Amino acid sequence: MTDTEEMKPEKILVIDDEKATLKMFRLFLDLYGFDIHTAESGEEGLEIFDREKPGIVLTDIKMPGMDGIEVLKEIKRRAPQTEVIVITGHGDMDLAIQALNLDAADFINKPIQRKSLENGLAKARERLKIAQSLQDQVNRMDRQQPA
Amino acid sequence: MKNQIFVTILLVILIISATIALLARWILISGLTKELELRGIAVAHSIAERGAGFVLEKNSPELLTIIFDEARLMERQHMINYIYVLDRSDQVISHTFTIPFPIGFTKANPMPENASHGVRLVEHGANTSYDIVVPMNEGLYRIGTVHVGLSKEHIDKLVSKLRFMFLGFISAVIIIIFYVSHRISRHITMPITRLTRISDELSQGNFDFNLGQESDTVDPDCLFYRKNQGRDEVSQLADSFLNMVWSIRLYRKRLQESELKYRPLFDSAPNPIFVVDASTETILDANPRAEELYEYPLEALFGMPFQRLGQDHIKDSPIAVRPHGSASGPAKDYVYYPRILHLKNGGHPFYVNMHACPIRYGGRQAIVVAITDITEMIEKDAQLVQAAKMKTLGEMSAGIVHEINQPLNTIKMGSDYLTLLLDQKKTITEVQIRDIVTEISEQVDRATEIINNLRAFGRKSDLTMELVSMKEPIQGVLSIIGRQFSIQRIAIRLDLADNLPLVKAQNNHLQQVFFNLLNNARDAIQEKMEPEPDLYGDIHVRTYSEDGKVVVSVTDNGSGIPEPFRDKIFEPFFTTKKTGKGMGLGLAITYGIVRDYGGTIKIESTPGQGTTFYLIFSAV
Repeated sequence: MTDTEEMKPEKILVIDDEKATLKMFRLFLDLYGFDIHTAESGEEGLEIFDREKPGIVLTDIKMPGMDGIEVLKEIKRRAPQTEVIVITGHGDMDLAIQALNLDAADFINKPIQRKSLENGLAKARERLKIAQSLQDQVNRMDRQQPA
Repeated sequence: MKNQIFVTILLVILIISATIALLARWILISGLTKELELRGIAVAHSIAERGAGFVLEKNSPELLTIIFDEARLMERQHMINYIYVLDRSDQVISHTFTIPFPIGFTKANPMPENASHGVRLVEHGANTSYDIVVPMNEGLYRIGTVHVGLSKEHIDKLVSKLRFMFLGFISAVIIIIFYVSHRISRHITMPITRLTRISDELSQGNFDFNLGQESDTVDPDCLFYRKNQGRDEVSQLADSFLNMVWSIRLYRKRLQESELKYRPLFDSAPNPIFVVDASTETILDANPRAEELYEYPLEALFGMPFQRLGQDHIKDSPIAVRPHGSASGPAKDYVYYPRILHLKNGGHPFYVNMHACPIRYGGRQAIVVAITDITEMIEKDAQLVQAAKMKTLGEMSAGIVHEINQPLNTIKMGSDYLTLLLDQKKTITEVQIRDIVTEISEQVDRATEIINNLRAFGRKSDLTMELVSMKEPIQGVLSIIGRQFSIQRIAIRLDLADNLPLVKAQNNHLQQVFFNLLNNARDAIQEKMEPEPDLYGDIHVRTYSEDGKVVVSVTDNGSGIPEPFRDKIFEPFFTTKKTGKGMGLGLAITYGIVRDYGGTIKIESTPGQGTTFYLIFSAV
């Protein structure tokens, strides 16, 4: 990881059908130093995802139209290394487990606690870092063992 | 009657008798007198004929013999007092007087000129006689006169004898007629008297007297019916009368049986029954159950204005409704008032169904009002609806949680953000604070609205009706479930007419109705979504007015209802949903509620295409 990469704010996409929620996310994530993109539906979210290629995606699960699980599947299909955090309603444990099985980074219950948001983001970053270092190792090993 | 007939007959007979008597007497007596006179004249002529020669010869002794012969012949001796013969110069030639000829007697009855004879009442001594004078002629010359004295006493005797006989005869006739008329009048009036007596007994209510009928006229086919055959009119009348009495007796017996049958029904009926006078609208009769339910003593109910029992139907009272059909409409057998409010003694209200039906009561036009106390039923209904609503709330809970979670989430994030800013010791601008706080406040309002809607839905509504605009319950339901539906990819389109007439109903229960309909629409759509995952649900809710009715239509593009189920879907516990998904009560409750408001439900459905439910209410 280079300094220039660290300087550049990390891209994050938030998908939620609630405008007010999106607004809050923007405030929070701005404070955490992300480059925030928001979408009001799953469809719009995928569009922005394709354009911006964010490393982390936060998506609500219950949405009209395309729901969070479908968004998760689609993103994992297009870019498996992307970390997706799903936002679930209270008590939607089935959906949360389903999401984790689909390789979601974490799930956050609504109403969103600052702590769990920070934990989720940290976990996502961790996973990204591990994935990155794994990738680096693989690359190094490739270089160390020339054919 | 008897005496009248008798007296009339008697009077007529007497008048006729008297007339006949007078007439006969006059004819008989004058005839008798004439006859006797003629006989006297005949005697005189005979003497004049036979004695003419002797007069000319002045042969007194021969003449005397002749006149004595004439005078004493047979019964004439009683009749003829005397005979004497005068010559031309009125000298007595001979006479039959045993005493010396009364002096001047010859002048008593002179021969009238130009007459064949003369008659005059004369007195001689103690006797009175009709003196008959006839001339004694010889050729053209009158040679003398013959006087015959007819005994007035004898004539009077004959006349009185005749009169006596005649009067006796008339009397006998009168007595016979009297007897006969008495018998006739008795014969006519006796059955009538009997009928009168029977009528009196009937009017005194005694139907169990002996008719004293002769069994020979009893019809073998019908024990009681007497045939009017032969006999006289009075007997026929009597028979008819007796037949009538039998009929009355029979009907009275049937009436008693009927009364025996129906009175206990009236008295033991589990529901209150009133008999209300049609014109005065007062209570004429009521059964014990009415006393019990309305808590008035029976005596107080009698004569009480019926309207005091309830106010709901004052406007269109059962009495105001013409039981025999108004001028415009045909006669109805009864009028039915569902679910109206009645008042107990003391003003405690309760709900009843009321049937009003016209009858004749004691010769008056009256109305039988049958009451069913449905308070308990309505309360049970309300409880059922309430239970259904609670179940609905349970079903909705996921959606509601989601719905409330959204504002809560925003509030939480907003406040956490403020805390974060404070923790990081960053300077917070006034604009930032205002922005966050405004957002939080808005979200609190939103949560409050959801909770208010929930509360309105969950509230157990009271039993009274209110005027509802269809818009309110539809929007109320939508605010609770709209979002949940949209998450399930079902759009609800509203097409609500403004200025729609109001409907007498209960907002709260109508919410349940619309919830059930929308819920069913969603289930139908989700059923169709299983084979067609790309389907987007569409529910179209329209309200409009048509022919004075308010119509709400709910159209979905779901799986539709197969033809055989369409009649059954309103039956309780009928469901096509998977076990555990529904009890089969939703539409049954919906139907019950709509019917309570006098509304109807119509269904149009094409399997595979969708269903439309029409709720049709009467506008106020």
